[in-house]
Amino acid sequence: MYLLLVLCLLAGCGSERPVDVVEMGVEAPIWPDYAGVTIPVGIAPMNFNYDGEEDIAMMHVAVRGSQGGEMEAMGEWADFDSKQWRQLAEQNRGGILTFTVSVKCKADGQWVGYEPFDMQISDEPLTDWGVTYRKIAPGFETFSKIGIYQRCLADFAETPILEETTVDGQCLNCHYANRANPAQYSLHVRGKHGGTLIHTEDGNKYLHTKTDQTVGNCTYGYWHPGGRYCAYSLNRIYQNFYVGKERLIEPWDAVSDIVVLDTRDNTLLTLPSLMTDDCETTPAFSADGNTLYFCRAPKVNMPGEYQELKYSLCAIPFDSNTGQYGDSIYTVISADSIGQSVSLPRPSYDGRYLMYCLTDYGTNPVDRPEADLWLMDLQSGQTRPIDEVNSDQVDGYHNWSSQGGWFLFSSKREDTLYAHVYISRIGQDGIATKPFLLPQRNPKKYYGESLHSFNAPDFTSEPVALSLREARSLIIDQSPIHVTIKEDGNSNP
Amino acid sequence: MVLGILGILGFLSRLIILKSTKMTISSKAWRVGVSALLFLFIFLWWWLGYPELLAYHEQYQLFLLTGDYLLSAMKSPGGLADYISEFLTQFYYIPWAGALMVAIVLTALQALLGACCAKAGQKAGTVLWIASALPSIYLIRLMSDENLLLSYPVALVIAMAAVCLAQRSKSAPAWIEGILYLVITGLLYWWIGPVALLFALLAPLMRHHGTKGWIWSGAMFVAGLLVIRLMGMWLWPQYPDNQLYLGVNYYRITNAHPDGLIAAWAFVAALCMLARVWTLPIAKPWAVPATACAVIALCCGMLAGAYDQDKMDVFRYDAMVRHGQWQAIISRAERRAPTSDFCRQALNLALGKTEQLGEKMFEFEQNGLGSLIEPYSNNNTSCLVSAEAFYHLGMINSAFRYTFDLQEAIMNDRKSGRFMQRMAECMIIDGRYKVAKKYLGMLEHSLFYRKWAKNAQALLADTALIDLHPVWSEKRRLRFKQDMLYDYRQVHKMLGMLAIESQGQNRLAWEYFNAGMMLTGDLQTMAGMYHYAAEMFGVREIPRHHQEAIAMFWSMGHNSFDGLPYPISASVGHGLMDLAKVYGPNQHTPSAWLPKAQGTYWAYFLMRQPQEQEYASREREG
Repeated sequence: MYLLLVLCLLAGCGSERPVDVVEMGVEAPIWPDYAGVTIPVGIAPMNFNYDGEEDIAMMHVAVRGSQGGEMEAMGEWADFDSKQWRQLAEQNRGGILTFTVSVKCKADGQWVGYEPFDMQISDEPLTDWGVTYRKIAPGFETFSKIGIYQRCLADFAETPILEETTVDGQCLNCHYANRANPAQYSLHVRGKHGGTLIHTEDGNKYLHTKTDQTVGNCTYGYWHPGGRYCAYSLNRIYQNFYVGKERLIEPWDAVSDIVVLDTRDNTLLTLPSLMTDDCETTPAFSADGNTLYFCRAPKVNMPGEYQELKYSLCAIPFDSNTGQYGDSIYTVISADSIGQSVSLPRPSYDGRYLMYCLTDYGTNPVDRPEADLWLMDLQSGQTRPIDEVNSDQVDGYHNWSSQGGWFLFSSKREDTLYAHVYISRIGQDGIATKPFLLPQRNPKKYYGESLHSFNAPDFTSEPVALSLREARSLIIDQSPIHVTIKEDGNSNP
Repeated sequence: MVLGILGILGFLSRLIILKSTKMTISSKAWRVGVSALLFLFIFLWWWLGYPELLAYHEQYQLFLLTGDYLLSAMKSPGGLADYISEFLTQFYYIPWAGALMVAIVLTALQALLGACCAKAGQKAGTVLWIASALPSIYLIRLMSDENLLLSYPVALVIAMAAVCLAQRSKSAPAWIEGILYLVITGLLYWWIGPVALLFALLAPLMRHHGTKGWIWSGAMFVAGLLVIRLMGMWLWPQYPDNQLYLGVNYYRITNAHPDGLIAAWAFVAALCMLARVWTLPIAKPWAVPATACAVIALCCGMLAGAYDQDKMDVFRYDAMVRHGQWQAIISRAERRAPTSDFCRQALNLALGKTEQLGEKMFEFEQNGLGSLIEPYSNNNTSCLVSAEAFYHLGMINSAFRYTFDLQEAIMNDRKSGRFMQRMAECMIIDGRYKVAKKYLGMLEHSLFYRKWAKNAQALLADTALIDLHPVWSEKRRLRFKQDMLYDYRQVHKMLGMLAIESQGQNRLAWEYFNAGMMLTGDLQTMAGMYHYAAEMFGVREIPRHHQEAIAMFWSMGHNSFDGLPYPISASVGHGLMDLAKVYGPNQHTPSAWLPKAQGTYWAYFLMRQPQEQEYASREREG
């Protein structure tokens, strides 16, 4: 009988529809701001919350597709049914979903309606399974709970790839996959058992990457598309702190060089011109693997002259058949000419674009409100800020989807301190769509209660499978393999 | 829910006492008396002896009364014990309430253990009941270690409650009993962690007499280990074996497992085993009082030396700084000289807040810049006072940074009500309201920070009110307006800039600047700025230590005080002259001249060791 009563109550709740709606004639106050965004077909339901000033009893959202189909959500927030959402999105591929939001005010029970808004459903699929990121508190010198996680894009499921718990509290650093390929990635561990975990089709190995002839451990990495090589910068990173009110922290490289790791024989390919007294950092291979991009800045007196540390975007040819660098380094974007600093070059995997981050100075945009994403058309050489996605807070740490077109980045636009993941798409016309915040079941609750930044996000074409016991055994229990410098600077093909 | 569980435990204890058969009035009196006495002792021990340790524990967690918090706790082995422990620990906010919680838990353990033992060894029931107080006392000793969490005693209580229930449950076929042992061990492992092995070991032993009991016990213990192994592999692969077998969160340092934890577990198990093998009746009338005397003597032995004065000083100073008890800090320092930089920082902050820093600081031992502000170090304690000092000084960014990292340094990954509150304040002052709301939203789900958070949220609804807030508006006015980089070596100079920027408003920054200059021996800069700054701050009479420093600096280049642009009192002038006469010929014999300089800046200046200024920019491993 009680069950019947409960069912009746639930049925009663479900049947309530907005009545006598007073139209406000203004945009719906929702969070996240999904009005006008473009989404891929397979994305999880784009749930959102009411973000107005009224205390509401419930929210009703009606969704209608331009190519047919409709659905509704009603409750504390817009929590769409996954199955219906998937069907509606599929039905409206290349079309538009129109959302009509009404809320019932708690005080007087009055329904209030807002102007409908649209979401464009892209006809270009996002084929990747999900995204990976490191979750870390945006702290300064101490970090507690750190983990590298993966999140399915089709639903809200998040699972850990590796958490610090498994490795005795060692700090975990960024996870770099080769073009979103979960079968090939590297991952850094800092601290007593520090090293670099290399995961390839052949299995896992754990490398100690500091040698007598190099300035530090492998830090920022980028895989060669062929999968044998991985370029790294070797950074000795320092940080200073701000007094004032806008900024908190200034990380900078005291020394940094570039090397390429040959994962076949665990050797480093070095070149004197990539290991100069200047700072060379954040390498990235071009889509065809024949060019190695990196950023370089002349050494200045740090930290006193921190505002003078400006990085140019440079490049050097690389022959993956011989494992040899080309003869000359050339400048792609000169810091002197633009008066700003380039960081994090990321060529699109189809070879069309190169996305990078531009800041007033330095190489780490973590606390730079002016940090913006820029796009270089590699065919025309034209470069421009991606104003469609940039905000007045940090925008950076971007990566492309494996099939191109879609890209993600992390941004602190929401609250200036915690970074979140946003996704957008560059169309054929080179224009980016309005980015959308990675959806969550209840976004306001999830992001409101999260004390983590979503750091260094990337796509992953399939779920990453890492045996935690094996990872622990490699990192904690076994001795790492010490990399060496390749004697002749060449690799055997 | 948790109160309900406690209620059940209390009721159970009472039931056990009253339902035990063949109990004389005298036995009942002994049992009630022992438990009551133990309860009272534990309560007083913690309330009067360790209020600062209670405060210390409270600030390293933030219990939230939300379903998500419970679910999050239950994701780990031992999650229920953690949840109950953290629920109880939040009451440490009020010392007597915290002491009450500890007393309830440890007395419940004694009562449950006593009930089990008394039932198993009925011929010596009262004696065993009295002896059952020993593990609780031993836990008190262990709990003087600030990193031992209440979740361990709570886990022991739940395990013993399960053993008691098993001991009193009806018999069942062996195979059903075996399955039940394994299932309950598995469930208990999920709820209370590896202490669940106590159930696997003792439940069969308490239920079955003779060899059968011992065989069952051994088999179930081994099976329990296997259960843990399997559960660890399937449910919690992220935890290494040492945490799976020794506990994830009994101890704040998750990778550390002190031997004492195993000893306490073994102590409880050993008492139960003793009860099981005890077969002789105790007929002598003196046996019970003699046991009581022996237990008291053992308790005294266990507790002797438990109180670490220096450590408790650190916690006491921290608690006083947190609550702004400036005069109490100074009084305590006058009674017992601070023995660490941490305590000196607290004292100097108190002197600064009461405008006595320039007058009194060198009456106490000082130790360089570290006596004012600590360079950040990666632990959850040593920068507590420095974080507070930054806040009071108006260096809001630095206060936020230190506080944020202090919270991150909590080794079992918990958050902190105290730190979250301060971080919210910093973000409000900085105008980062969305971040502040995030923190306030969490605090609103707590018991003791809820009211404060709701009031702060109300201010955020109308941010113009923040400029009317007596503290936040002042801090907002006094903080740096421009972004500048600095490192620890320059912190006192930054305070000088802050003081000057404030146009005479930030007196504490000025006091700290001068103190920093004196502590680092940079008298030239101090003297160079003094006239300008003293005028700005309306100083009518130069504080004694400032006079001493200026006179010292002047004397290095002059033979007399003629022409000194600052008024130096006659006593300071004469004092320095007298000291100079003795110091000259006895430079390397401090015993000859130090008495003349006692309590002055000169003693510090002449005795100080030039400190290596190693701290520059902080390197972060790439």
